[in-house]
Amino acid sequence: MNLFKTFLVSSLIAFASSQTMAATLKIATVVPNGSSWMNEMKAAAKEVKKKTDGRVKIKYYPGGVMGSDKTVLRKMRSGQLHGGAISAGALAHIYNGVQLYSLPFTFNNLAEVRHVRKTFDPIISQGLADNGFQLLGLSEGGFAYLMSNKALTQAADIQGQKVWVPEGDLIGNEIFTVAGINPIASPISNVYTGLQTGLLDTVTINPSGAIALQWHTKIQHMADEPLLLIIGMLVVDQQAFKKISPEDQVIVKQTVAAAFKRLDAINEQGDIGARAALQKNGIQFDTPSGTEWREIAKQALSNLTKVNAYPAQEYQQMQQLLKEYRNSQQHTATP
Amino acid sequence: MTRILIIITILALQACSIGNLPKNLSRSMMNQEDPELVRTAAPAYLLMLDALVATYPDDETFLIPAAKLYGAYAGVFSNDQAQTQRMATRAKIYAQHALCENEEDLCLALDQQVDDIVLELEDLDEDELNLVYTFASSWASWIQAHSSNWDAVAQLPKVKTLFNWVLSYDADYDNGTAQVYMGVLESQLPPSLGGRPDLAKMHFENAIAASNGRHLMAKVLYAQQYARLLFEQELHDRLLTEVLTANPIAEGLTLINQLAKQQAEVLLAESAEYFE
Repeated sequence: MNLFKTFLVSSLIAFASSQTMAATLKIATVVPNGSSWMNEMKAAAKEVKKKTDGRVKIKYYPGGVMGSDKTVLRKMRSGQLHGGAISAGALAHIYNGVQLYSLPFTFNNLAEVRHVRKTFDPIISQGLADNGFQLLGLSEGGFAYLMSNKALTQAADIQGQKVWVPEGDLIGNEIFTVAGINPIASPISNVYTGLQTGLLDTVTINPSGAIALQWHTKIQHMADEPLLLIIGMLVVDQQAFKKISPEDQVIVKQTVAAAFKRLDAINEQGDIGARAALQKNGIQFDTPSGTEWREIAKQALSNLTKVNAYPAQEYQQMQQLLKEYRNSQQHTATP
Repeated sequence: MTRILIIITILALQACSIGNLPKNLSRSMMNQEDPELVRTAAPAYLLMLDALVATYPDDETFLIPAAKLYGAYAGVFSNDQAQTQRMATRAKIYAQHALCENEEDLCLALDQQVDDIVLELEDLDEDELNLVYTFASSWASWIQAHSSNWDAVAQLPKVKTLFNWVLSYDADYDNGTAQVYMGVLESQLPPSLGGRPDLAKMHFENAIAASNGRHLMAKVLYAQQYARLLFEQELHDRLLTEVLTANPIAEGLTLINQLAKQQAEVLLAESAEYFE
């Protein structure tokens, strides 16, 4: 009888498993509810659920409730989470190619970014896959600029400034070190208080980020030259992702990628509006003079090859591609 | 913060009296148990207030109630985004005109930095509470109705400054509703991005205490804004269950409490899915 019952229970479990191939991808992010990022990611989750007839669900933990990007990655390793929507830099220790778009003074505008992405998005995706991560979405978070309590038009102006760099940001740290100052590394959560108390007076951020985090109330100047590009990525653990049927994997990939493509346009528009809002709120836009900052960045990048902070070879290829693109644009502009 | 700020604007209604109009009209509205009745009846009252403002364009006796009612209607009953924006804009225009007629220096500082506003507020006293509070709530609702506009969002710190000034004079102002506004404003950013939900919690608790627990919308927003932000399901469910079992009848709060009950039901039904 007991044996019969055991079989019965086992067969029920087997039946249930075969019926419910449902998978829930648990994804955490520091991005808060109500933001354009969350809105689009939620829309993608809804679409995935619908297109897979409920076999795949995406459950988000927004607003940093699961901790920082670093903690999210740790929880992914332990299996507590399956994925994260995180900043590209957080993945740099896993695959340094994620830094390619965020290296200083690489791009002059988003058209250049979009041109090279056609070639390098697949390379980044493969690099992450080789390290156990499935890249589902990659989006431009906008160009970040130096913002401060004083005009920073020349490299010398940075002397004596209290400059914030994100914790663990090797590249930012090196740039400011080459510029001759010791930047202050701290989590993003401490920056507003730092600006309030005077422990910090200079940050690198995109215009909409400056407003969303209310840093704009503590700064008076923006150096109007794109320093670096902020990149957000949605990655999931490959083992978890492979538990989904190949057909459903395709649906998830396409749907999330489409949402992140929409975000490119939304974020671009957002930053245009945010720039205008910053100006309207009395923040002065200063044009940096000369090429000092670019020379500093060049030196920093050279130093960073020694610690393998980014893939130098791919970066050179990207520079070559950009050079060709810029030439073609000049050619088009001057018929 | 979808519609949150404009929804609570309705609470500001209770403080108004409308010149020659029957004094108890606003009060009756706030004490009405049937939100649908108010939804259908209020537009006629709005048009009447427009006419009164047109007749007495600089008189705060009409500007203030007009701002409050337009803000309230935009937040609670308008389902069309364009209409919500139009009404919230009109509410802000009325409230700002009332403020500027009376406090020119503060009015000029509104376009300056937060510190300039703080400086001008130092010259004001409790006589200006209603003016400042009405403008702050209208401004918050206007920002809410235009939340995809970064220029609007950039003004939020100024609104917080005005509410904080109100609270510095009267922590229980408007049945604790000034505290509710601050609770919502302080729960927009999670701690990981530098937000201060601990302050949000304090404001919501203060609002509940100020109304002896009768402010059911304070509990709903505490659950929706704070408990959801920090993933505190136990708190979320407890607050909403309290709302569902509470008697909604309370002087000046009945209408909003009825709306709070409707919202609590929806939020509680989503709880398992949100927190799972």
